[in-house]
Amino acid sequence: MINYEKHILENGLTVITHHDASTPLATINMLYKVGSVNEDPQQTGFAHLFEHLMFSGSKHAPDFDAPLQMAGGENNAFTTNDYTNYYITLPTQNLDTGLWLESDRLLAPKFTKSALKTQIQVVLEEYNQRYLNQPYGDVQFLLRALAFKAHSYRWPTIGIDPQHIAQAQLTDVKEFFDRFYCPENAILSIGSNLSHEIMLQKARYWFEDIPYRKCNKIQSPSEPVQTAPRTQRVQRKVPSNAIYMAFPAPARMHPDFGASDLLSDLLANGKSARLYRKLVEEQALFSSIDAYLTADFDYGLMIVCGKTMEGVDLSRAEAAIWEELNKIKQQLVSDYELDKVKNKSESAHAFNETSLSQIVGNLAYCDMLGDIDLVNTEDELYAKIQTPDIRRVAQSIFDPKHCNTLYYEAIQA
Amino acid sequence: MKPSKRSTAPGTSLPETLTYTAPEHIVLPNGLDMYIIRAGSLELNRISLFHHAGTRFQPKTLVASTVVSQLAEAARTRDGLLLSQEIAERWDYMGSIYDTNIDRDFSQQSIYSLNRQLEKSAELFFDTTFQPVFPEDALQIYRTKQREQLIQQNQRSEYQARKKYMAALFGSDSPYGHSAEPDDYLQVTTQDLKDFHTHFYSRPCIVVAGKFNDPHLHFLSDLFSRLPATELNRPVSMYPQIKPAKQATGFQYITREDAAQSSLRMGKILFNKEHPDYLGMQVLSTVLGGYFGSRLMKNIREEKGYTYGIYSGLSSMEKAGMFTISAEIGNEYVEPCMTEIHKEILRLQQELIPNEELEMVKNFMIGDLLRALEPGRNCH
Repeated sequence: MINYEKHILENGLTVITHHDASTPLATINMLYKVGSVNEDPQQTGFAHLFEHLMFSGSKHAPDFDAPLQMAGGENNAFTTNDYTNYYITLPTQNLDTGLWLESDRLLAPKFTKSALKTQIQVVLEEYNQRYLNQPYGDVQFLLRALAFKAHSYRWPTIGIDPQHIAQAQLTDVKEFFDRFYCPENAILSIGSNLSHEIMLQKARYWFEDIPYRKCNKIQSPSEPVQTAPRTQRVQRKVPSNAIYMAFPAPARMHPDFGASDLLSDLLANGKSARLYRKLVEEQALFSSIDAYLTADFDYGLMIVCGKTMEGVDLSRAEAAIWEELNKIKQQLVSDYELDKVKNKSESAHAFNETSLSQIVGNLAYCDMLGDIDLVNTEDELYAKIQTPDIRRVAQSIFDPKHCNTLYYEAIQA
Repeated sequence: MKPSKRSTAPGTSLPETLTYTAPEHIVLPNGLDMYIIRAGSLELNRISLFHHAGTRFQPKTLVASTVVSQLAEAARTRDGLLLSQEIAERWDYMGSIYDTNIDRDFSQQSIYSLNRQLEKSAELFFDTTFQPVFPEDALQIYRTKQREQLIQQNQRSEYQARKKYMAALFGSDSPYGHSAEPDDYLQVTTQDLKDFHTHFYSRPCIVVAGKFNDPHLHFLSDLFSRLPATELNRPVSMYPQIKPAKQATGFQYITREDAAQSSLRMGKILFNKEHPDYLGMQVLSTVLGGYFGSRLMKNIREEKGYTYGIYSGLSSMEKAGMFTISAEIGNEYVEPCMTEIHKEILRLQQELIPNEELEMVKNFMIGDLLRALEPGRNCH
């Protein structure tokens, strides 16, 4: 059982504390409920660019990193479609230093033209490094655009177009902060060997005087139900053909999320999973294969994808995948096979809870989802899933009408 | 206006001592070393074996990595011969995670298990490691698949730069500087695997970590005591020797028409961990490029925006070490970036590091040590 206490301060900030007697370290996790889903379609990639700017210092702490490093601390952040997460790990006796820095950049961040100019350039290099200069690096862009036509999940967090990032203005930055970086749109999660009371007291000391501000979220348009399959074919200078199939699937908090997650494990988690065994080992059609859920908040996707072996054409590879998908739609999996993926998932959850920063981050994430207790109940929810549930979700997800297929063809470099 | 509580930074201190529980060391009756780390609060454990069987010992390219990858492909067990599918099936059912790794000096295998599965999981781990069979068909599939993956790797500029860099430092024909080519996979035979396994896999160093009780530990020490007490007897002539390296200097370029960015690797051969200056050098390298606030990051990323990240670091191998700076840089910034790197190195050679900066780096490094020693982290 993961222990926690949760309070909401007067300014709307959610504070979660977690006590762990065994560690000399403290973790501070600050989650803002804003991600690329909240962006203006003309300004994609902004939430992530903004994350970079949150390290530019604040009124009372003009340098964010130096005091933290002096305190033996380390920090980083990431942006997803749904949220932006900042975390600090440092020796417990310096917890106040971390809270001082984290609270000051919510109270009075310092945004300057020169910092914006540099971070635009840094993010553009990140764009190059992670997407443009990698084989298959544009898949996320293509697949999202194929699977979503209206909803803001149709672009990846890095943004749809480097120009959107290049054109960001200081006024946009300030407006974004005012709109989304409000105490009521944030979850502060702290873990250490201090008592819950002391951690809460420190959170109050540093955060309570930050005034309430109204958060003004942009709602993403909803996605119409897909009625016909969509396909796209691209040619790229990559070593081998690849195929990506994206199916609309249960979102993170949908009651069928767990069954869909286990379905993806049955197909592709580990060497004994169906797709790996059949298509990689037995038929040697693919060099690698995968199936996973995107686990986003508004809508989910089940992605089934693989890279083919030399000389295998994509239509043959596609047919082989469909054969396996049809099998799991028609025949019940055995209890043994389902138990196997349940055991694997239980063990993966357990190995995921071995460090303080993972636990503290997970608490904030589950609270954002709307059910903080999920940190303790998810294993039970998975345990209850039965073989007919798997067949039912397989039938509803793997509907050829709902399939978005990207054929990624290799051409000579 | 009265000064706000925020105007001055809260005072900081660092722990006087690091609480580090040294692993218990036992020597098994057959002479093998077993280290026990009691860590974590969850019913989990990890068993790792370190074999002195890195790529530098292989008589033929790719043999060492193929051996460690093929161990779980088939094994003689008390239930008879188990093939890869059955092995994967059993571990998957137990919720165990099997993992292997190799570098130039060592290969490593780990099995992560729930405590309630420890015995079965470890038994299978033992059999796959010490009683493997290397089936011909499994090797075929592996070779074809890996070959494709290496072709893919070969197209990434990071990989190309690293390969050329290692060859420049140590020589492309030396065990530390050599890299495999995709077609080398076709030359690996099951006989190569058997020979290499016989010579290099009988004397592992055993490290176990987790929340153990006494029966668990008895079981594990009994298990690994089954190995014979014989010392390795491998003819020196069967594996390549490390020759004194003749490092190339100067610039080497790989031109790619389609690259959106340039990969830079620069550095030199250096001493390894055993040298008295290693620790000092590590602090120096951290100042230059070993953390987010480093001089290279501050100058080249945070001031100039030439890159998403630039780092420097030391690598310590058994017979050599190296110091490397690496970055992915916008094509148009390569020249100015090199100028800045040289400037920063020169500054470190000519000016003392200010006390405050040095203290910050040391504190950061102490924090890093604490993070590395976090309870629980060792068992996952």
